[in-house]
Amino acid sequence: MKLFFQNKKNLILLIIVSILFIVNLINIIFFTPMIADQHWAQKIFYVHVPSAWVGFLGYFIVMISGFMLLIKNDIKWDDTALAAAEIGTFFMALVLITGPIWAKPIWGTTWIWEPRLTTTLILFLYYMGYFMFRSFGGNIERIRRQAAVLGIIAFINVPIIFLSVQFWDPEIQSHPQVEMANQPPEILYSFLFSLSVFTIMFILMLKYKVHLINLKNLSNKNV
Amino acid sequence: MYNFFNYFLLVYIIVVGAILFWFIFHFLNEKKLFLSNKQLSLDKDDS
Repeated sequence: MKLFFQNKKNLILLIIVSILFIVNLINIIFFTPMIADQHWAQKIFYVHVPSAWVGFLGYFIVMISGFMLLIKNDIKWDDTALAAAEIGTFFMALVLITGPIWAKPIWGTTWIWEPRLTTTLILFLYYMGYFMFRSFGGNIERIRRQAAVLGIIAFINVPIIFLSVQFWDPEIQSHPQVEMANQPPEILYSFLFSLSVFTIMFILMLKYKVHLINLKNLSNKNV
Repeated sequence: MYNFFNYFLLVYIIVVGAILFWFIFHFLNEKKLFLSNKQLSLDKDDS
């Protein structure tokens, strides 16, 4: 087995992603419009929302892998689920850190117990429980199957977070009901570009994490 | 007003810095696992 970045394809992907991140930064700073009442704080949007998207994508993969594990009973799906869960939670933590920085100038406070923030925090804490459950030990076969079920149940929260602005009354919402399709092209295209850059980064991180889990499994077998 | 350094750049550094840290942490972890795997297979060959 080789080191992950000794593989030329992976190294090229890393270089491409690094360049794209620099291009994304330049694009956000110089080519996106400045919103009058929010100024630089609004530009957090181009980093905060893609981080949330990548987090949800990770949880979506956990759900799919959970189903596949229960159907096919192949360990590789458990490895994928674990890798995706870790990366999803990593980005969810970034969302919960960057969100309050954006919220402070807009809402005047870092945290409000409103539907979207509360459901996001619930999802994050749920996954903390998921990792704790996995680390408790016991019958490995049973843990894998139960973790798959937990991953499937957790995903129910994702559409609730996404649609929370429509589910609950507008009076208790702090998030605006923004239709991305109605945004001016300079905002929309920059947002889609940032979303793509973060998605490519997620793919690279997922590949790397799965590779590491395989290496760890191999190491455990050798001992 | 909401300036460049305290809002946008701070958030960008937090996000990119965390991703960079994630890669460095995993790279060091991978190297450690890789070397221990190599050592274990050498020990097996010797015995």
